[in-house]
Amino acid sequence: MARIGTLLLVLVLLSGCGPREPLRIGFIGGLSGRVADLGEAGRNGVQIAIEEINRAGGVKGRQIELLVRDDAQSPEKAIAAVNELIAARVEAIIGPMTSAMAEVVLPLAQRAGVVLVSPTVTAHNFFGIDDVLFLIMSSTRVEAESSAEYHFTQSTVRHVVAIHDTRNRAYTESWLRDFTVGFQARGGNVVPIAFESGPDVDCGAIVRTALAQRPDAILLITGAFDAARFAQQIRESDAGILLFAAQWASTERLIEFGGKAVDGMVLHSYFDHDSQAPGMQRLHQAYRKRFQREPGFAGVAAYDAAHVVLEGLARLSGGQTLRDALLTRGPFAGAEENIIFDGNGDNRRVPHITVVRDGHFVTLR
Amino acid sequence: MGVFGPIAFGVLAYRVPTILQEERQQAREQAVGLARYFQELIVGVEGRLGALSALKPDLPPAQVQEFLEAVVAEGGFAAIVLLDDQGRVAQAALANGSRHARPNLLGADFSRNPLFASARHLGRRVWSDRYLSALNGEGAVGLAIPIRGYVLLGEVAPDFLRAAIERNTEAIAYPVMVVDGAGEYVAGRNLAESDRLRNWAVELRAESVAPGGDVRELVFGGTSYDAGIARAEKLDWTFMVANPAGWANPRVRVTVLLVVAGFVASLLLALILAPLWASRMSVPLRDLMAQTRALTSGKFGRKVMRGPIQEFNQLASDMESMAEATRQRQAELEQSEERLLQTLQTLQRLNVELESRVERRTGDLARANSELLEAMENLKLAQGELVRNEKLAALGNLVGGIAHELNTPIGNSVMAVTTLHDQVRDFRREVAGGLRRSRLDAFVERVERGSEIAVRNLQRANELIASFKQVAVDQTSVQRRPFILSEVVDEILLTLQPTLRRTPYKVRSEIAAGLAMDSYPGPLGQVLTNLLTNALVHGFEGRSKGLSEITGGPGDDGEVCLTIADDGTGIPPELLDRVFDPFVTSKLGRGGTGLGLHIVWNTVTVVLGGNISVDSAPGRGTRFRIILPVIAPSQPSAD
Repeated sequence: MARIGTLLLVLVLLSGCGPREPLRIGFIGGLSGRVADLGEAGRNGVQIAIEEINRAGGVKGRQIELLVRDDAQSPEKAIAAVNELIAARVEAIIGPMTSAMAEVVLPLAQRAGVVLVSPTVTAHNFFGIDDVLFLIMSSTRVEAESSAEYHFTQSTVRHVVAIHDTRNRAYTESWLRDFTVGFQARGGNVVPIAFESGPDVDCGAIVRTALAQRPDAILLITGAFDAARFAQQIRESDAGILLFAAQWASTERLIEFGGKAVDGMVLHSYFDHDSQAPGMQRLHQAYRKRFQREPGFAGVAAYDAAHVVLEGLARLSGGQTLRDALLTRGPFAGAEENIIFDGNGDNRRVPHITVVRDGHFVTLR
Repeated sequence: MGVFGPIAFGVLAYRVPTILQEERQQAREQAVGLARYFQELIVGVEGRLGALSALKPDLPPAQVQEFLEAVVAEGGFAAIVLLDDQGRVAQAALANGSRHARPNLLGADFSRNPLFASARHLGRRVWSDRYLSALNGEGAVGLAIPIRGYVLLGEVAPDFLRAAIERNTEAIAYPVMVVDGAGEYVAGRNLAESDRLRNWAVELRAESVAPGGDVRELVFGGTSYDAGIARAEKLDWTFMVANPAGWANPRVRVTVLLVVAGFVASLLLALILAPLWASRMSVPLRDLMAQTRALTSGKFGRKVMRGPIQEFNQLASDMESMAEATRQRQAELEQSEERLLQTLQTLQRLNVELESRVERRTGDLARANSELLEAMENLKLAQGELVRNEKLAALGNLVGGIAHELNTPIGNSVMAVTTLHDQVRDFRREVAGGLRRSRLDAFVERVERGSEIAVRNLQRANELIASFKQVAVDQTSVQRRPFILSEVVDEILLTLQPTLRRTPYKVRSEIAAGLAMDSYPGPLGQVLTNLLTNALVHGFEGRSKGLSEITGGPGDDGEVCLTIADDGTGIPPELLDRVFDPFVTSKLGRGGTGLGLHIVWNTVTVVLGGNISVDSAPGRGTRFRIILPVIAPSQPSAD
């Protein structure tokens, strides 16, 4: 009997000798539905960053565990997902990938004191606020202002119809507002057409309405799939009109679905498709090897977001919270450029202008 | 415990690895089976679209549409589109209920669609699992078949494949997963959301999989699994069926629990049964014990109660027959004990008699012993008396010898002095009558001659007296001193001269010159005197002549060797061995005491610290050989 007791004691003691509990990092993004490309690229970027760190021995000797949750672009699912992540005691959550979801989950994270680092949220109303949300991208204002300036000065475009997706209203309306302000201030005119993305959207009707306005250019503040569909519809009626789109549409899918219709489309983003930065080259290579595709702006931004979180955890000292560390211990290395947060957790990024030529993104500036 | 423990351990050590091996094998086979099933499904789906490859695209559009719709109606495809060489949709057929986000699909531009591009480029059928539906932008599986400048593109709804897979894995209670070529989750069962949402490229895609499937260790929801892995060819999807590894495996758990339960149950059973058995056993046992006690205290004839246990009954009968045998043997024992008692009494009586007899004898012996001791004492006294007498006799001889020796010189001196006295008287008378010169001269001459004779003889007497004085001192006192052996021997021979001169026998001595000793010259002289006297008295008896020779010189080991040899009659052989014993003599009753040689032996060995041996044969003389240490041991005896 004594022997069995000893055995049990040994087993109990041994169970305490395992590897140290890993640090948990959450990820939330749309992994199903038609914006899954953004979520998937984001998740892949985070996964690559975490695998790199784990191979190098983890953070302070602890391995990193990634908990992935799908918000499916639905507020209910997003709330449930973030609550699960908070309950799992994650150190931080990377995401969400869209401003609409950020609006929903930010109060939860704020209450729990869990840092959210969003790779792709750019809606202007998240900027300039001292909260737990850290933003890798600059606000839509910078991008939209740059776009307004570009089109007003570099072309004769004065009358623009803007088609925007109300499913991601926080983002699209922010973009639309900022662009409208910048464009109208220069003397241009912007007519917005709202639609709600979904399987039953009548693209033809929307395009007809837009073209009826006889615009010089059509602005698409939509996801890549919708932008491609609209582009194809528009090209069927008007082969020459200028199309330009917000960052959200600037993924590989735009070209896949758009075909020749998206050739010549101008895109505004915080992402240089032709970047020669060594970090970007490395990331492109690793991402292609791992996922057989290009990271896109979402993959790069998510990779940067993960780096910010992991470096912040590594630099944590004393009783400091991650939020304090992110605010005070920057800059953090990104794939393309360093990330440094201002007092509100906002990063500054240079807006780029890209055009699609023969099925490829070409950076104009 | 000591038996069950090793057996339980052995069962587990043998059984658990076997079970795990079987489980791994099962997982692998299930994964391979699933992959095969999926492969057949895909081949079937491909066959349906392939049937359309015989289609002539330049048929009237309505007819083409009909064919496409017929294939869609067969199931599997959510949409089939016919693309012209520019990638534009020439014809499209959609399954009922499919989410057609593009009502005006005709004319849509598919030129940048990767599946279209690769089918055109390769000129053969291409499957793609990374295909995004042109209808709604969601993930799908696409198949492109090039036909005569056109491309047939079929979209298989993931739900169709997912449902097929899930139907086929309903019975599996553990994680089942299908991932596409990029490691993305396609379908599965019993998986946490996190596992569905993550990318599995590293775990399931990084390494090639053997055609017969592989087994890898994977973790789902914190539990370790042995995952069987197989691949399908057409779509390069990976199929994974997991079975819990180790303790998490129910078969292992059940086996371990069964063994442990069996172990515990056998312990409990033993604990419960022990008292029952004990009481069942104890009744006949107690009876048997009582019987044994009765037997021990000598009560025979008690019957043991018979119970249900055969062995105890057998034991009881054995015990009863043993009791009977014991009783008989005891009776025999009592008889033989009585006989033994009688014998013992006889023996005791005899013993008492023996003891008294022994006592008597012991008394007799003690008396005899004391008488003997007394006799011995008397003998010793007599011996001492005799030795003293012998010494006195020797002294007498000595004195006789001395007197005899002194007789001559003193007689001569007396004669010379008396003659001188007479001549002086005569001379005085003549002087009264006138002195003549011639007369005076003659007188002086006579006086001179006479006094010369007197002086010479008196000197001789003086010498003799000094010599005797030394001998006497030596003989009468045991005095140790350094001396020259030859001198002592000469002095002894001198004392023997009177005796020898009366006999025809001669004594010759030849002692190495200057041989010095530190010893007892008196006892040594006595030894020599006794031996020489012995030769004269015994050896030469009845002979007209005889020669005794004394030789002496240094021995082998720095000792002194003296030999006293005669050419007399020798010693009879029967006496030779006992010659040094006391009271051994050839002249017993004729004046010999038989102590002479005993005294010699005693003196040589005890006083002088040497030893003596004799060599003799009748008619060939006797030779005594004495070995003496130059320095005698310092324990002089009064004798």
